[in-house]
Amino acid sequence: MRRFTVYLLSALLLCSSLGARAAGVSVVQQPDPSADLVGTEIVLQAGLDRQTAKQNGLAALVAQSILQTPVQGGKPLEDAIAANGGSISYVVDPRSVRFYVEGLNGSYAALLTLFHTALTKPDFSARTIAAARTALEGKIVRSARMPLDVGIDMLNRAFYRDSAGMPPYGLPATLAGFAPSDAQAFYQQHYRRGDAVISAVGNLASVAGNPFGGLVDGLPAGTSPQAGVRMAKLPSSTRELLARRDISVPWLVAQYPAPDIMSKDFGAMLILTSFMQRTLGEVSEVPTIATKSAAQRGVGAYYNFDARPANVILYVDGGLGDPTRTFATALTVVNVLGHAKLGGNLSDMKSYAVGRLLQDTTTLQDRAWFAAVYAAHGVTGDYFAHAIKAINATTAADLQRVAGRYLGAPTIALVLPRAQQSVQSPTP
Amino acid sequence: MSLFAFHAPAANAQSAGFESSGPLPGGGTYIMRRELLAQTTAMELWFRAPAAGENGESPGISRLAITALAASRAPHGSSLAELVNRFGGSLTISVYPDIAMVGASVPSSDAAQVLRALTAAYFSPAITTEGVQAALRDCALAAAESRFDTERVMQDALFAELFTSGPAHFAPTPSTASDFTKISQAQLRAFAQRAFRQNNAVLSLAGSVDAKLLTAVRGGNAGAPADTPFDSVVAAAPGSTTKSGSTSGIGYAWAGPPIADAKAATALDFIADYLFDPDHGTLARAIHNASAGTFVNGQFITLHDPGVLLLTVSGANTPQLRRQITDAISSVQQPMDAASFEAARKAFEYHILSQSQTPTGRADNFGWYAVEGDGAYAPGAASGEYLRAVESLDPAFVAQAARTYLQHPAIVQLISSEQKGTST
Repeated sequence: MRRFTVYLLSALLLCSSLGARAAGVSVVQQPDPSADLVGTEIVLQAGLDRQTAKQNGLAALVAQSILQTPVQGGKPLEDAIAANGGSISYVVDPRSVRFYVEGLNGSYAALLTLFHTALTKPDFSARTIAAARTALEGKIVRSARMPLDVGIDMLNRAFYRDSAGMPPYGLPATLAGFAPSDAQAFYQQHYRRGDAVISAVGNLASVAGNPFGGLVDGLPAGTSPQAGVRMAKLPSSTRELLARRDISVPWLVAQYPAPDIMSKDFGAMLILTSFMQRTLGEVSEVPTIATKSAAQRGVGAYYNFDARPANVILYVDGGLGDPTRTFATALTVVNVLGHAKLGGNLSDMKSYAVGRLLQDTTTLQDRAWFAAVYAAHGVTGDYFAHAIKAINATTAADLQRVAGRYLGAPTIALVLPRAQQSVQSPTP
Repeated sequence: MSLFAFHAPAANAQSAGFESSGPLPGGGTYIMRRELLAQTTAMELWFRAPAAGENGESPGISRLAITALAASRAPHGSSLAELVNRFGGSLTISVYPDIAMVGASVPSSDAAQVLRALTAAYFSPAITTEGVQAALRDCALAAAESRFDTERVMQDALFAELFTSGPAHFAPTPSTASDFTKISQAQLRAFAQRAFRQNNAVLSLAGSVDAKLLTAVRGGNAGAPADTPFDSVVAAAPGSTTKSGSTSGIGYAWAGPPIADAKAATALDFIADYLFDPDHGTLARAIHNASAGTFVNGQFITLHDPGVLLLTVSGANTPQLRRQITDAISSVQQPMDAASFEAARKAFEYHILSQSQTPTGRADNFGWYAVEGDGAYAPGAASGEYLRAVESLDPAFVAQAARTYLQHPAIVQLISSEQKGTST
């Protein structure tokens, strides 16, 4: 079956002086001649954990500067791609930065040429850096209004022991201190092709010359070194974090450690996460006949299986009532799962977990990302089949063991309106 | 040829082998689009059905009926909603003034079972008492939510102002629960029998699908031939109105071309994208820059006759904002320069296809355009009609379309509770 192909570009194509694995970039292609579009995710190991203690926000500033780099008649890359029938976005993750370029079949090769130009020769002039800084400041302001983002940022700060827990866009004060030379130095050190993953999906045959593997050939060989920063522990002896923001209702966000995608516990955690999401909804929300979209839900759970270490996030929007009561109920259910083996078969829980996984990965970007996560671990084949197989292989004993091992002691972030004095701590 | 030379849309020729359509055994029609990498199947039933009944005498009847059927258990079985939920899928119910849709997205391995349940539920409608009770709770919640949904409040008010009669004059979801409780079970069953008869249905399938899936369709009440589209009467001189809401806002609605005038309808789509796209629209960006905390929603709603260009801005209603809107509408009545137009058209083409890249997005497009009267014109359809219409646009035509249609809007001003009693 040729639906999914993964290959390593030969070292000779890139740099004859390096070994095949060291110089190789993983390229995943999922051709779909029925698609109207093409999408490509480019993953580089230049995320938050590459920042030193004094570089808070620099990873985002470099990525944003690439989007602002003039490429076509002085137009920033972002605008040039839009004008040619496409879009570009990026995400700064704890351990990587992911660019995503999507566009029309007919002009996609041109979009990749534009991206290649900016990625290879980004503009870190004072003007571009200033524009990037302004864009990031806007993202910081918007993020501060999102209680879920605020909670996750707090939790990540406690979860990661290195700079991977820094806020994704830095802070206005730290961004203000970066000079063009800082961006240039970070780029040169961490934008490397040796540990890049490229994942393309869509109507690939319509793109002349199959240019996907060459997208990072302008980057230096080798891999990006980790910063090796050890973050100081938060000055708190409890597992509860608290912040106040200009929001109308309190939010509760909780984080658990979780197994990674290659773990034998992966399938069980997929089941548990979908089960918790359903349980939170049943406990807190008025039941509806139609399915609520993610944006409509006031509660949820998602599994960051691509993170290192992986983790699970639960959230409850206080607009539905006291979030700690809802969460306490969910904790009770999880505790029961961890201490008692489920009777009967798990088929309903498995069906539900498979369905939610597939419902959450229907866009080209989702598919490109999902394949890139597996490809980063050197896994080939039908990625959805791998995940579904992991779910279906799960036993009741696995579920109990994984719930007991991972879901015992969450760290909890409470994001409160500025005026609110307190909420009761959740206790199972 | 330069690097960015125009490329004729290639998707349609390529997609022709992946799309099929035709009559369903027992009545109604289907459109099916296969997507090779899809793991899910989207299936939707679309019906021409006035949301408030034939003469607007039963507000909410369409929503109540379509919801009650989704919640009604088959004898010794599950309801459609329970079945879809069990498979981790998504059930969607959408009620518009002139049409109603119920759809599901599920893993392809469960598609046949869900399609059987979907078609059995609607082609042989058997509303149970429990189904009605569940639907009444659901509709009461929707009614309550609609009162706080400023977009919804403004759109309903604009349609009531723009159309003097016909389905579009009435809100598809009433804002009071008592409207739903007034509907008798006999009325509900009669409505379901008539509106959801098989001959009146368009089944839209997309994603992981093949022809074998159609054997899962459970035929039932064929009934009379499909209704013709339910059009509404446009006001000769649309007026303005004021409503109260949880926030301030302003909305405009212009009557546009019918779906049959594909080029003009596409021009209005282009204008909506160019001005109102939340990320890139020139007016949307200008409003955001001037008034943080505002939300701009604008679109051309393709309807049988006429379509409607709709713009709502919530979070502000200032003289400066109104001037921005007026200036933007005036600007598109003049031809754009060639380079800006070409860039905007390319961006528009991408936005259109991006919105229909998932199985559900595709099924939505196919179903909507089919019941509004021209399924072949659906963006992304193998016919390529829509993309040809996009390519046929030029700056002069777009400006002419704007001058023709964007003259006499209905206007609604939303006054927040803090503003009550003050002049705006």
